[in-house]
Amino acid sequence: MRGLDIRGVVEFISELELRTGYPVPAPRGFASQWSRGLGLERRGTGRLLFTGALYQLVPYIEAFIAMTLRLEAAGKGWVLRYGGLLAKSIGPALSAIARPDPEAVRRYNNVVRSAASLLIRSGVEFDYVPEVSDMYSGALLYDLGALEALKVHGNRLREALESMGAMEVITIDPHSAETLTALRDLVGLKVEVIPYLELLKPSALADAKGLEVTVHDSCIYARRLGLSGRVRELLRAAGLRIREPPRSGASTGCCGGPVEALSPGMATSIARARAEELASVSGTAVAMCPICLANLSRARVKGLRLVDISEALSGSL
Amino acid sequence: MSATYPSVRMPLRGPDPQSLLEEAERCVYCGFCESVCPTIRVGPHRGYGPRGRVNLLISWLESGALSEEVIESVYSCLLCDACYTVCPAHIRLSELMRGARALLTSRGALDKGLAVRTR
Ligand code: SF4
Ligand code: SF4
Repeated sequence: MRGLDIRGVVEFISELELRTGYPVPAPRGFASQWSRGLGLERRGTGRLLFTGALYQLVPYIEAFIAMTLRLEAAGKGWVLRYGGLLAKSIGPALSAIARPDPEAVRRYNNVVRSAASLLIRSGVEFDYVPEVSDMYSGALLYDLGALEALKVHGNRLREALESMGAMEVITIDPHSAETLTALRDLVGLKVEVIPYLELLKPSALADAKGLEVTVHDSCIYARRLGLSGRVRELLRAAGLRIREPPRSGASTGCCGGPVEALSPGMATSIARARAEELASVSGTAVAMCPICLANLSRARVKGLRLVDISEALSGSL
Repeated sequence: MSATYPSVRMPLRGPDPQSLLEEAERCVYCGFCESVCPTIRVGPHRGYGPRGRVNLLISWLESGALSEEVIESVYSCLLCDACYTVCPAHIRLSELMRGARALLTSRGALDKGLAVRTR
């Protein structure tokens, strides 16, 4: 099975990112919908909540991939070879065609709300300014090696964060945390990056009363940031009983999601193997990354429910 | 626990072929990494595993000859670093592959019509 045209995908994503600030077509304002009614604002704490828009983007990434697969199935996959041109000419307008599942939009927005609510309940003070907090981190550009586009995007991000006087940013997903860290080297971003899981207090967590779950560690959290212990500490504090899968902690098995933009077929077959492994130990698996959550869910393994850690910790199981 | 991130620095390798080559040449070809790599099981050739990736990268950088195999190998990597956890030479394939991708795009060396394949 052949994946999508590599050059076309890299050019499309780079071009669209530079034009709209996001790597796939999405309507204006989509990234900040989650915060409506929460009363979050700028408070001058020097610490900014930075969602990186990755959770919010998942339904749009899924819709975009479904659209490319439909094009391939109709024998029109060749248009993707002209990804750069496509993005320049009609890229932003594609959001009218690549429509996301409204239920997925609601669910992923809710994950972000849960993460923010957990921070508030933990007594963490932070600023939230939608036009900066919900900017994209540039994670896909970083992973695809689109360095020139990443530099341009990274400089925009640096200027936005500097204009806010942000000294620290709180991230809610591993890829945004990793990309912001890379941007410190690449464009001189001078902010401390703090994954929100580090800031949560046990008293802020719901009580799941001994419900059993398994854990799908994120590769970045487990292998680069050494956060596996912290994740388990929080889940236990929230009253969850953990059954470890065969590959866990620093030996976690990747969900396959990072190759999704280039080969949805390969991503799904890797996800299926991992999801079956998780299902063999529990009917509920806790993930902590939007890419993992989406990719493992797409494998549709019977008897396995995937939840985000923010849902697990706030009792929405 | 410290609330700062990260203790490990993750330098972004720019498109510098010499440093990529030096890093890749530290490989001792033990193959330990192949047992933990998720892509080797689904890809059509050994270039979909870490040892093959290192091998193909070295041959490309040494000879200058860029094949379809090299491109597939570089872009199919998940950057997951499972291989790093078992590698006696502590080679970070994720950084090598990001560097190789950056090199390919900066040289405009990606031809149209190339794709990752699944077995
Ligand atoms: S980083 Fe790449 S080569 Fe290493 S285990 Fe993951 S997919 Fe395989
Ligand atoms: S484990 Fe490390 S040294 Fe051994 S073959 Fe793999 S990359 Fe090379």
